[in-house]
Amino acid sequence: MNTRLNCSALLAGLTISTFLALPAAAACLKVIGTEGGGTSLTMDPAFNNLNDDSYQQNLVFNKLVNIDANFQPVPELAKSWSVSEDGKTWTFVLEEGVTFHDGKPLTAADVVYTFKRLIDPATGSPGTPLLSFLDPAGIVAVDDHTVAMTTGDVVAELPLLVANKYTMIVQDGATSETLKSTGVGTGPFVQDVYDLAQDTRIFRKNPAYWRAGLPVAECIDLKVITEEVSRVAAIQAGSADLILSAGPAALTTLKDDPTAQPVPAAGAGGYMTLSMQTDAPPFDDLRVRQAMKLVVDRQLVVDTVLLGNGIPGNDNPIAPNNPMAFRSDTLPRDIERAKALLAEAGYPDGITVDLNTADAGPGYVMLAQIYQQMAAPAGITVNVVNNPADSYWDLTWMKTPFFSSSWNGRSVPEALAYTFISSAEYNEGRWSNAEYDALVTAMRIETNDEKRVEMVKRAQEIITEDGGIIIPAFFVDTAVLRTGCSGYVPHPSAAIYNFETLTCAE
Amino acid sequence: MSFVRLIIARLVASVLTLLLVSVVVFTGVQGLPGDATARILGREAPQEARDRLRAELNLDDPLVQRYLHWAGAALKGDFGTSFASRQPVTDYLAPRLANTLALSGLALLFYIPLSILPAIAQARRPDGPLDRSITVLTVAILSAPEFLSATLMLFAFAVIWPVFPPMVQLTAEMGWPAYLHALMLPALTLGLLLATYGVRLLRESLLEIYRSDFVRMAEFKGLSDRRILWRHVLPNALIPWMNATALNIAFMIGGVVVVEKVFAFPGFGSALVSALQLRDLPVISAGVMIAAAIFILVNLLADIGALIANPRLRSRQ
Amino acid sequence: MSFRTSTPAALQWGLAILLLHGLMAVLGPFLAPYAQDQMMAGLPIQGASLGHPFGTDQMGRDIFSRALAGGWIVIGLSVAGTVLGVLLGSAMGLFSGTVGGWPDEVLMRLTEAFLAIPFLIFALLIVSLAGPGLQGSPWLLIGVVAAVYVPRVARMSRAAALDVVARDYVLAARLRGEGAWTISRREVLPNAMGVLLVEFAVRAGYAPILVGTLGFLGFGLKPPTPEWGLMMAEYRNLLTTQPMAVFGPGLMLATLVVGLNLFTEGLSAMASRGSAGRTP
Repeated sequence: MNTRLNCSALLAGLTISTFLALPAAAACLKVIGTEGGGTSLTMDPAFNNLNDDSYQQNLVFNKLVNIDANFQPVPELAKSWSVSEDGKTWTFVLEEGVTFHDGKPLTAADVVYTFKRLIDPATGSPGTPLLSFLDPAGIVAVDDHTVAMTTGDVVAELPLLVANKYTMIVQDGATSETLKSTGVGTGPFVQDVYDLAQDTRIFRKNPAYWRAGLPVAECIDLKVITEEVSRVAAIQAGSADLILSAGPAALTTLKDDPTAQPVPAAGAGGYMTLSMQTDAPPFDDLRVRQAMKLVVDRQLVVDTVLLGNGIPGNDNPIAPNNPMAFRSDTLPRDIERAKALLAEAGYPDGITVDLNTADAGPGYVMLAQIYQQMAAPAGITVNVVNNPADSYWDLTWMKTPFFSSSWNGRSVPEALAYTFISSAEYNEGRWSNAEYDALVTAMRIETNDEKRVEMVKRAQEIITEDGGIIIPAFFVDTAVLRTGCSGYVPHPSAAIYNFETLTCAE
Repeated sequence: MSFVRLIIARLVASVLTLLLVSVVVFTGVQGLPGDATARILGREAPQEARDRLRAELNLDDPLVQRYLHWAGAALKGDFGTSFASRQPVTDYLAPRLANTLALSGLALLFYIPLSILPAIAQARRPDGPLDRSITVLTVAILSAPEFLSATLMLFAFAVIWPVFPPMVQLTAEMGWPAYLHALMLPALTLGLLLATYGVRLLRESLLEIYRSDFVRMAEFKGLSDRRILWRHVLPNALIPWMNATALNIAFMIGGVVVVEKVFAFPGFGSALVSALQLRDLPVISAGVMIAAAIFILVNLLADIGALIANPRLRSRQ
Repeated sequence: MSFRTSTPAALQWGLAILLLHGLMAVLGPFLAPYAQDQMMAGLPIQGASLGHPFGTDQMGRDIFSRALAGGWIVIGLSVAGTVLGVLLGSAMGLFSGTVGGWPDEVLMRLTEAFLAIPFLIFALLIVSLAGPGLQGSPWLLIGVVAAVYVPRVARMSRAAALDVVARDYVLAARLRGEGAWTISRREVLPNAMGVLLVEFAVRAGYAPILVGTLGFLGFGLKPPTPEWGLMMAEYRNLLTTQPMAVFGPGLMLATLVVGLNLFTEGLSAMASRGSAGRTP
C-alpha cells in the first residue's frame, strides 16, 4: 500500500470525478448519531465498544436471537428454539434461505464460528466474560440449519444471554483484521461507502434480505454529529431525517417545531448510578449506605438532569415500570431518617465524602451536582471532583470510593448479574452478599417461571436495601424524526437499532 | 550579506526548527499520560486484550529507539499506523488535510475582499457613521469566542435563511461544484472571523499612509482620489497586512478546530483533537508535525517575499 | 505617527470598562440575588424574566447569579496567565536580544519551534500532558495561557531589544564594561517598556476567549465553575429557546474584551504599533 502523502493523487482524483460526477445520492436517508467513534470505529461485533459501533453493526448484521423492547428474546436468525429435558442443551433452528451480502448462504457453521471466536480468549473480545457460561466444545452444528449449545449447568434463560451486542453473526472464518473495516453480514443493509477520513458511511439496501419486503429505505447515510446545536440545525433545515438520540435540551428546542417529531423508546433502558464501594469505610456500614440513598429526590433528578425524559429509579437495575419490578412506586426521600442513621453509625455531625465524576457520560456531572445539593440537608457534605473525561474510565471509574457511572439497558438476568454478583468483573460496589449470589445462581437454573419471578423480586429488594449503588433514574431514549419520516422506534438498549422500516416521504 | 546567502540561511534555520519541533513533539506526545489501549478497546476490555494490543503497538520499547524509528520513517513519508484504526496515518490524515487546505483556501478568498473593502470604506471617511458601525461590528465579532460566532453563522445561514447545508457532507464522488458548495458556509465563517483582524490592521495602515507627505504630494500633483488610493496608498498599506495574513494562514491549519466542530467538518483540526482524546500517538505526532511544517513553510515564503519586496531588509537583521 | 481621533477617548473608555468589571468581579458574588450553585432557584430552563435576567439553566440555577460569581475567575485567570506569560517571555526576549551571539540563536530556534505548533493544538497538548490530576484546575489554565504567550512575547520583546541595543547609549554601556544582564535591566528594559505594555494589553484581550474556547472543547475548566466562556459552552444547546442564557455571559465576556481592546488601542497609538493577525 502506498503510504506517501498523496495530495496530488487526491486532487487528480477529484478533478477526474468532476467529469464522471454521479448525481448526489438523493434517495439516501440521513441518519445522525450522537456518540462518535472516530478512528476507533469497528465493524467487528466482537469489539463493539461505543454507540457508533452499534449504529453501523446493526445495519449490516443480524443476531441469532434478538431482544425486544421488554427485554424478552425474539427470533431473528434463529426462527425457533427448544431446550432438552435436562435443561442443559438448547437447540436453535435457523431460518432458511438466508444469505450473506457476498452471496454465501448462512449455515450453522457460521453461528458456531461466531460464538467460538467470542469465547476464545485469544480473540481478546470484551464480550468474552459475558459468555462464560458457554463451553466451546458444547457449541455444535447439528446440521446445516441447526445449532446446539450444551452447557455444564442449566442456564434457564440462555436464549436471552446469547443475545448481547457482541453476538452478531459473522461468516465462518472471518478474521479480526478484515472485520475491523469490512462487515459482511446477513443484515438489511450492505456496507457501501466506508470512508472514515471523509467521515462518510453509506449503506445500501440488501436486495436479498431474508425478511421479505424489508428494508424499506433504499440507502442509509450515517453520520455522527457531536454538537447538539448542529444536530438540531440539521433537522430544522431538513438535512437530517433521523436523530438517533436527542438530548433533553434538543427535545426542549424541538418541542413545538413542526419540522420534527420526537419518538420516545417503548420502555426505560439504561440507568445512571452513583456507586459506593462497600468494602471500606464509610460505605462498609449499611446505615451509611442507606442514609446516602435516603437523601435522593428521584423525581427531581428526572425533572432536571433528564428534563422529564426518564423514570425514577429505586436503586436497583430493574425499572419500576417493568412487570418484574419488586415495587412500582418511587422510594421516598427522608432526610430525618438519613440523619438518624448517620448518627447511629457514629456520624452525629454528618459526614464528608468525595464524589468522583466526569463529563464521560450523559448527565454525570449534573447528577453529581444535584446529589451534592440533595445530600446537604442531611449533613452529608459532598465534594464533587470533576475529572477529565478521556481518562475517567482508566483512572477513576471503579478505582475511587464514590463515583459516577451508567449502564445500558439489559435483559433482567443479565442486569442482575453483570454488575452485582460478588464475582462480577464490573462489581462497581465491591459488594458481596451471599444470599444475593445464591439467588442469582438459583434463578439461572430455575425453569419454573413463577418461582423465578419471585427470586427476581427478592433479588431487587436485596440490592435496594443492602447494595452500594444509588440508581436515581432510568433514561428513556428519544429519537427525533423529520416530519414526513416514519418507521423508527428507538430501542431501550443503546446497543440495538432497527432501521428496517425507516422510510421518508419526499 | 548577499541575497542568496540570506535565503539559504533562512532555509537552514527553518530545517533546524523543524527538527527541533519533531523532537519536542515526539517527546511531548510520548509523555501523555493515560492508556491508549484502554481508550481504544473500551472500559469493559479485559486486561489480556489490552496487553495484547500494547505489544502489537510496541508501546514498551525505549524512547530514543522509538523516536529514531519514527523520524526515519517520517522522512520517507511513512507516518506509521494509527493505533485506533490500524490504517496508515497518511491514509487518514491526507484527505483531512486536503479538506482543511481547501477550506482555508476558500476562506482566504472570502477574507481578502472582506478585509480590504471595509477598511478602504472606513479610511475614506474616518469617524464617519460607516467607519463607526464597521468598527462596532468588528469589535463585537472579535470579542466573542469563535464557537459563538460560528454557531450564530450556522443558525443564520443554514436554518433561518437556509442558503447552505448545516453540516458538511463530503463524498468521494462529489464534483468540484458540490464540494465547494458544501464548504461554503464554514469557509465564509472562517473568512469573516479572520477578516475582523485584517480590517483593523488595514484601516490603521491606510490612515497612516493617507497622512503622509508623499500622498499630499500626489494630491498636489492633481492625481485623482481613486488613482491615489489604488496605485499609491493601498500597495504600501498592504505590506503589513500581508504579513499578518501569512500568520493567519498558518493559524488556519491548526486553529480551526472550533469551526470544524460546529459544522461537523471532517478536517485536520478535529482529527488531531480526537486523536488526542484517544491517545492515538502516531496520529498526534504526525498531525502536529505537519501543522508545524506548514507554518514554517508559510513563514519562510513570507520572509522571502518580504526580502524581495523590500531591499532595505537585506542588511543585517 | 498613527492618526487617531479617539486616542484619549479609547484609553478612557477602556479604563472605565475595566474598572467596572473589576468592581463587578469583587462585589458580584455578594450582590447576586441567588447563590451561584443553588439548584431550583427557579423552574428549570426558563427564559429571561425580571426575577432571572439571564434565565435559569437545566438545574434551575439563576444564570445571572452564576455570571456575577464568575467575573473574578475570568479576570483572574486572564490577567494572571498573561502577566506570567509576559514576564517570562519578555525576560527571555530582552535578554536574548541584548546578549546576541549563539545563546540568542539557540533561544530563538527554540522559540520558533514552539511558535510553529498551532497555539490551540499546543494548548490542548499541554492540558493533556498535565495529566488528570491537574486538568480542570485554574492553575493549569494560568500555566497554559502563559505557555502560549511566552514564545510570542519573547519574539516581540527581542525585536524591541534589538532596536534599543543598536542605540548609542547601549554602546556606551558596553564600552563601560557592563554585562548583558545589567544592560538589559538598566538600559533595554526601560526603553522597551512601551512595547511590553502594549504586548500585555493585546494578549490579555484574547486570554478570556482562549480560556472559554478550551472550555468549549472540554479541555479547560470544568463545570460547575461559573467561568463565562465555559457557561456559554455549557448553555449553547439552549441558544434557540433561551438566547439570554448564552448572550448574558457572552455580553459580559465581550464587554471585558472590548474594554481590554480599547485600552490596547489607546496604548498602541502611543507606541505606534498595530495588532497582528488572529493569533493570541
